[in-house]
Amino acid sequence: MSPIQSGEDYIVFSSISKSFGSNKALDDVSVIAPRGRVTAVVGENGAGKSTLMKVLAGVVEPDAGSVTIGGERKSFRTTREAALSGVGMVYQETALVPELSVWENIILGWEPVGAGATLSKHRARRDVIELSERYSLPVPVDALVRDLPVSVQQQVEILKVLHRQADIVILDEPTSVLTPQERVGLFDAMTNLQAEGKTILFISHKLDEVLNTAHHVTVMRKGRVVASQDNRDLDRRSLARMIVGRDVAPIERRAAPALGRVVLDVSSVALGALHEGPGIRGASLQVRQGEVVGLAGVSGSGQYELVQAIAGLETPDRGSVVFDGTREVRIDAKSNSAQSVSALRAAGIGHIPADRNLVGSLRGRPLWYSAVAGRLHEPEFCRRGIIRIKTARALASDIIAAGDVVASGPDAHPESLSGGNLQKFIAQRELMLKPVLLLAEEPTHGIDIGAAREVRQKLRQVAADGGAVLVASTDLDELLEMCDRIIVIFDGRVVLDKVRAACTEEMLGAAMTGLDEEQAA
Amino acid sequence: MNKSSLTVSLSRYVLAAVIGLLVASLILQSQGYPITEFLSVLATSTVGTPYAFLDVLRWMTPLLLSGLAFLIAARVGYFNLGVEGQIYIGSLFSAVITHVLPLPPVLALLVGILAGMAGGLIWAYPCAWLAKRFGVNEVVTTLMLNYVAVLITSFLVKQFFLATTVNGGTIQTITTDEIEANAVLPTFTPYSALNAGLFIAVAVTAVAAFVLGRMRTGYELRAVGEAPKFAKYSGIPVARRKFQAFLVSGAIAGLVGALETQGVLHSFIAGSLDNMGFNGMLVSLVAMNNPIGLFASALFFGVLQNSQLVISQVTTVSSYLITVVSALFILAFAANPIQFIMKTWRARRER
Amino acid sequence: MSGEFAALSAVILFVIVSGLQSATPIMLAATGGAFSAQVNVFNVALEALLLGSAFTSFCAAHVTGNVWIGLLVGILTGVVLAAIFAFLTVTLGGNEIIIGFGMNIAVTGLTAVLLGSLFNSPGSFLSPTAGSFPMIYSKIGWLTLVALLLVAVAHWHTFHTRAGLRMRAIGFDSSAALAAGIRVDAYKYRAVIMGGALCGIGGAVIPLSGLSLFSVAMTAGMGFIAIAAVILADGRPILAGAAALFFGFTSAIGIQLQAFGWPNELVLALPYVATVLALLVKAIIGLRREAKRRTRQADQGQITTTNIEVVA
Repeated sequence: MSPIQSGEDYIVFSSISKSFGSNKALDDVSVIAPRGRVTAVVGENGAGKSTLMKVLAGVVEPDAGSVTIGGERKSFRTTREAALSGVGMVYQETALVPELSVWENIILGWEPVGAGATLSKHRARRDVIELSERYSLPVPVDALVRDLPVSVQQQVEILKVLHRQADIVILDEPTSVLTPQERVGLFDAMTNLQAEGKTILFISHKLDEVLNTAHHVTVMRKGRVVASQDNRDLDRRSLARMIVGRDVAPIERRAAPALGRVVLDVSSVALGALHEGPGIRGASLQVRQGEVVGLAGVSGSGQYELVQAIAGLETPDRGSVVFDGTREVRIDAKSNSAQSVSALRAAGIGHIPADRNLVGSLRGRPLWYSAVAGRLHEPEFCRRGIIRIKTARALASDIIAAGDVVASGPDAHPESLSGGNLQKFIAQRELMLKPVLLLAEEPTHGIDIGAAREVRQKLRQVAADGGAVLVASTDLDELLEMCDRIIVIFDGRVVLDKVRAACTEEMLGAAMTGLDEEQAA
Repeated sequence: MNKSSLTVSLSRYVLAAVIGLLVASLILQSQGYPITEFLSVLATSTVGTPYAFLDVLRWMTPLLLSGLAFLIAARVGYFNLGVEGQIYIGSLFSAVITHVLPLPPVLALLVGILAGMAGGLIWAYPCAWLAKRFGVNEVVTTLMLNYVAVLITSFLVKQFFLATTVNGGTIQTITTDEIEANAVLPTFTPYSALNAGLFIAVAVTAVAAFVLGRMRTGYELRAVGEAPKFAKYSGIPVARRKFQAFLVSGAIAGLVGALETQGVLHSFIAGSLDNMGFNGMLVSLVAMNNPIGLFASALFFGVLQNSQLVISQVTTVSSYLITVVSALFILAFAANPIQFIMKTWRARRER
Repeated sequence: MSGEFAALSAVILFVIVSGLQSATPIMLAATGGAFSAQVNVFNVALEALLLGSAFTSFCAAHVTGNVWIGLLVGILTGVVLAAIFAFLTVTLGGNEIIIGFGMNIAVTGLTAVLLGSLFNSPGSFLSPTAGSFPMIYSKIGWLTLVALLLVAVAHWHTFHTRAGLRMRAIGFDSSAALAAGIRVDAYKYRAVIMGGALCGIGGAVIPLSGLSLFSVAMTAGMGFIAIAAVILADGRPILAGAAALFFGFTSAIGIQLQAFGWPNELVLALPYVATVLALLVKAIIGLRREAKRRTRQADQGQITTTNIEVVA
């Protein structure tokens, strides 16, 4: 390769177009990324940034246009071809094998072999340790990936890319799973990579990070490039305007609400881990009428287990959950999940689950199946055991109309709806019950800004109307925007419970990673 | 369903039928028979004599219910491969009770049927319980219990229930004594084994189709099988419904045994119930696990089953040929090559 | 006293010898099935693979008078049938249980039809020319040793080769393996076909050990017991082989019990019942282990970046 000066045009996308069926993901995109620098690719969900990077990484082949690296035109049909040319991508959802160890995951697919086809374990471990030290990415080499926190898993992913001798490292929304403190660690790692001469491309929708870390910014909207420039002349507002195409006003903060009675009383609830982490080891909290309470915690903190226990989906090992809705429902270690869920629903709980595809809706069947979820005990929808399909379809139509959902009708299948629309459908379905308490898990995860805004507005409306809302989320920005009070779960316990006004992002981030407040500063 | 997807679905059946037909004809031809021999055998066995078609209907009874048994378990995601064994146990229960208890006409019939259903349910119980309580894979346990069922029924009959011949000796085959006349399901003509059991089979299947399609139970079973997390979220007791469906599946398999005993065999005869369970699985799969499709599917396999005897009478080829045809039909059907071809064609355009 | 001791040791010897003999085909099928399990393919067609290979190896040995040619033909058959299974499930996407079971029925029927057509002896046929595999001691043949050896080789393959690592990765999380650039479908084919070859050997053993006999459906569920052994072992070759041996021994113990007056049918049912009980025991152990893991996690607390030990 001819010697190229750092900063010069290195990766050149020329007129890239790509369509998936009728969806034009990339429309004549031309972008340049300089060598040895950090380039951020920003935009809303669905803007095309992921797709563009996937073209570079060899995951997707463009319909038109070309990619040039260091002056040579490249055309990748597989990720392996891209890897051979020095391109590696770290995905948003970790692509590691949880049941294998760190070193096994790092060498997987690029293994050093000894005699015959024997795996050279000794050499493999040694290579991994060397790599880890060289790039200052400490990882426990023999630990199983499933026992590691997400931030460490991400470092394993980066090492995996480096093991394949990547010169170009693509990071897809790397900070969406990290707390503020962990983000610092990531940016340090990026600096190290840069010092070794790597070119970094990272996808994000978080404006502050982009402005702080990237030298070069490319903005995309609806499959097109809107701007591609140095970050010198950018500020937050102009960047936001470029991303969305108009001025975005934040949701109005309302004054502290007048609180009513306690509707949810969680007392010393403990539940063993459903995935990684210690589970919830004894948590207590209360939610009153009129409040929006946020529940923050990284994956593995116990937040997930606590929410499942409150929703009645898992029976706690110890402690109790008392819901004071239209009638009182008590859940403790002697309860039965199916009965708890039905009782909670009947007493006025609404639940927006984290997984809208596998939990919140019934895939492969018309929407009315999903519309009557948990309501078949009502005579309106089911009489003498026979389902009244007509009223079920009418309900689905009502939800679609009231929730401003884009769907072809009550017979459409959930998988034909976009993520945002399905989420709106599920949210509206729960709201139709006029819940006394609405439990919302990751309510705006993976949906576009417009739909996200609508959902948040609806949640706040529930509280304004006298209901109560409990929002579980890993998105601190969202919690700070929406909630009146924030609770942080770490290591299976409640470590922070404060009104919104008294919280800062750093304080919350510190609590989420178990650091002292002074350490966070 | 729009027109093009209807054509695609139909072509799936046609392709499978063609493959089955082709192989059968090839095998027959290799033995020196003309290429159309298979088709002519099918025609003879189905409509050759005035009563041939009645025999086809006679086979529909066990095939329909066997298919239903498999279907109900499949609805909740279980592969009940133990229908075979559950039929055996059901048949034995029915034969013994109806022989031992002298009862008035309708009551004797009902008691025999209920005994058969109980037998099937009891035999399904351990597999269902192991699956529910411990998560033990039901495919293997049901298969194992099939072998045990055949062995244990033989043992029980030889030990306790062996039929006695007219002059007081013991019979050579493994058979029980004849059942009470009051428990026998009446036939329509003396020339065919077709009996009133068909009405029961059709009625049960129709009721099941209604429950599965229009009633709350059907909704819950469907949710449990297709989207268990959604079902749990909706407040449906997932494990309990799966368990209940498995038991019902066993009971219906037992019903098959009872109807065979009381309708055709009039006792328990080892070896005469072979393959009813597996054929039922084939019936259900071809019906795409849709209860209404069971009728057509059972008819189709009834034709095949009926031709089995004729094959070995008219040709020198073993009656197992029909087994081969059925199996190949299923393989071609399940592998769905047309869908694959269309999918790759579409994907190639996209990439 | 010594008379009883002699009787007891005769019984134990019989159980070991007979157990090894009956376990050999199960061991081979289970080791082969383990490969499929490692890549998350539920190979239900083991019975078909065994029976098909048994038939073709029998025919080949009958025609040539040479058991080793029979063995070769058996291996080839196993490979071909396995390839068909892989094609129908991996490439065409058919359901493994339906396809596997369908193949079982098809092969049972086909071998029965061919048995009648080729040898004019429906039901079973005793071959005067086929011969049988040489024995080392009593009824234990060389192929039993080969089977034990192959279990060890399979273990080495699974845990000490690059292909083994990739196969395990595919089995745990195929989308992660795909992201790592591994050609998942190719490895699935490879796993199934390797298993097919092993089943081919297992199939050849059945009709040609002692009696040169083939009868309809003579595998009598051995393939399904092998599947159970694979499930018990979670795809680990040595455990699968051990489970297969266990089932072989229950069969032999059953025969001994017959001598003590146990009825024929109940004795024959022993291996099947043993399989179900073994699965139950495994499930209970699994649940206990899961509960222990959860309490351990609860005690350990959450791992964070600050308390991770560097590299090590």
